[in-house]
Amino acid sequence: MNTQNIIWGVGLRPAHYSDWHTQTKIPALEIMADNLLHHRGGPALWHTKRIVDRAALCVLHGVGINIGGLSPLSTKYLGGLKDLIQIFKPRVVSDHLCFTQARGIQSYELLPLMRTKKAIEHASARIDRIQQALGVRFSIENVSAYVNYKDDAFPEGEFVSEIAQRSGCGILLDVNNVYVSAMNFNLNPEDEIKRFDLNAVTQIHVAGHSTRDDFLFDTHDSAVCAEVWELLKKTLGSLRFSENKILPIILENDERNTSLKTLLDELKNGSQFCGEGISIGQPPHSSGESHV
Amino acid sequence: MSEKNIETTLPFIYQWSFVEWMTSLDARTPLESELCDVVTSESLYRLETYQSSFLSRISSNLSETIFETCENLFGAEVVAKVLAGFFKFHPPTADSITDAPIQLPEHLRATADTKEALLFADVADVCMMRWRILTAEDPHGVSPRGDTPLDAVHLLSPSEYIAPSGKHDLAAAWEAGSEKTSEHLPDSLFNDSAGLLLVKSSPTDLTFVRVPTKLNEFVRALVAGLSIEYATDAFEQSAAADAENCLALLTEFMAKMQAQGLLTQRSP
Ligand SMILES: [Fe+2]
Repeated sequence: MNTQNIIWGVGLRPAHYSDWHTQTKIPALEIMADNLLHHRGGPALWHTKRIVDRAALCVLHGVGINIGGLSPLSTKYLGGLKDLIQIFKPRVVSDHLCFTQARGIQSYELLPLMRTKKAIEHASARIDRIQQALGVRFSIENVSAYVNYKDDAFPEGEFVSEIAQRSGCGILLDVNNVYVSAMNFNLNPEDEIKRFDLNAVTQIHVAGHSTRDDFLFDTHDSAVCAEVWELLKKTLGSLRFSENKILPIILENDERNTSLKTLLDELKNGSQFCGEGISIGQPPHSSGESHV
Repeated sequence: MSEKNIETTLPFIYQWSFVEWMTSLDARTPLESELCDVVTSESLYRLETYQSSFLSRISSNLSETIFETCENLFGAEVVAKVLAGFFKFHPPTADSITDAPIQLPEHLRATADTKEALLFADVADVCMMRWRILTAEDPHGVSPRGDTPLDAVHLLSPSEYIAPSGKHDLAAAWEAGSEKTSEHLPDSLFNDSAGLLLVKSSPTDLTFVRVPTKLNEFVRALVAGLSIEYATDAFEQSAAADAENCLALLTEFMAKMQAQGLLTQRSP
């Protein structure tokens, strides 16, 4: 792909609000929708508006829509998301392909779906309703998994891509999640990436993970490991994009207790390793239009 | 098939088993739960990681957003234990984690067996009120003026008032909880009947005002939206015994509020 299409960025966190205010240039930022949902005012909204106003672009990311779940979609949640879309005009709006609740009880966790034909039909229909309710193209993210099911009928990449194809949504490809799940189930991460429809990718995540006993856990609390940067580099090498397409790559850091400087240094090093300098400021081909 | 019907269909029933097992903090091991029929035997032992994440995610999120003062006063371990006890009886149903503990103070008052637990309930109430008002609409169209005459003022909105429980000095508790303390909770926190008024004075600032007992009715009326004249009526009725003293107290209180920029000229 043409690396000029990539806009690098990080997740926006309250701990960095004051540092962002003094930064002269702000890269792409990812807003955690759930941290602002239903806020009518107050510090989080106040800071986010002022910081995002100066950012190269922003993307909106949620954790609670319950795409693969069975409880009816929450109109209150979708309404809150729609308000945020109107305020921030994000380039990508996303949530995870998973379930988070059942019979109205919330787990607040990203629980892995059983990868069956029925699940594909169900999730595709729900994404259809989500896109209609929000009035934008939605993107779904692959999650890290620690368990799998006896009745899983599809590899994850095929499962996600089939749903994206049926519903017309995009894919937020989390390279760290692919790596974590692949390692947890003795699969080859590079092979797993190839199972995704890379033409449908609208955004990429990288993040750190940790080790628990004999498996990997997606914690976002540490630096991105060399293997994940390597996997990202190879993934970018396989991407083919049209000239006007912008691809945000976000370094997630929601559980990290680190300075903004450390984070931006890591982003710069990672982006250089992947074959280009960090792109800060206006996106090279941006028309200011959202492509959600 | 409608969404309601599908919820009980076989291909999806594992979702309920999963969430029920996680959130009820079921003492059964994964092997003893229904999940062992659907999860591969090689990965079954990792289910426990989901159960432990459930509580730690809620606790850390609520401590960062709402219950920081509780954590400073009582310690992180106590807060985590209180939340675990609460969510075992009230599995969360709210979309946002920050809406999940709405019934917590009520639950604590019903189950408290120590004076510290009752103080926790009252402080939790203040924490939740702080969060509610902080995320509500910001005040606009008014600017603080120190020289506004008393009869032409109203409280900035949105503001909320906590009536005294008669058991705790919440303003003092709030102050004591502004930073982590390893000290024993002072006895003075446990015997007072002052009220507490929270006023949002800007998008990023909340002011906590200790309300003298004798002015409770006056402030309650103001926050309920009554005009200053009606609020004064309420105050006079409740303070008939020593009206003169109370009037002095009221004047002093209002002057203090004005000096803090919490009273402004009524918007046109
Ligand atoms: Fe992610």
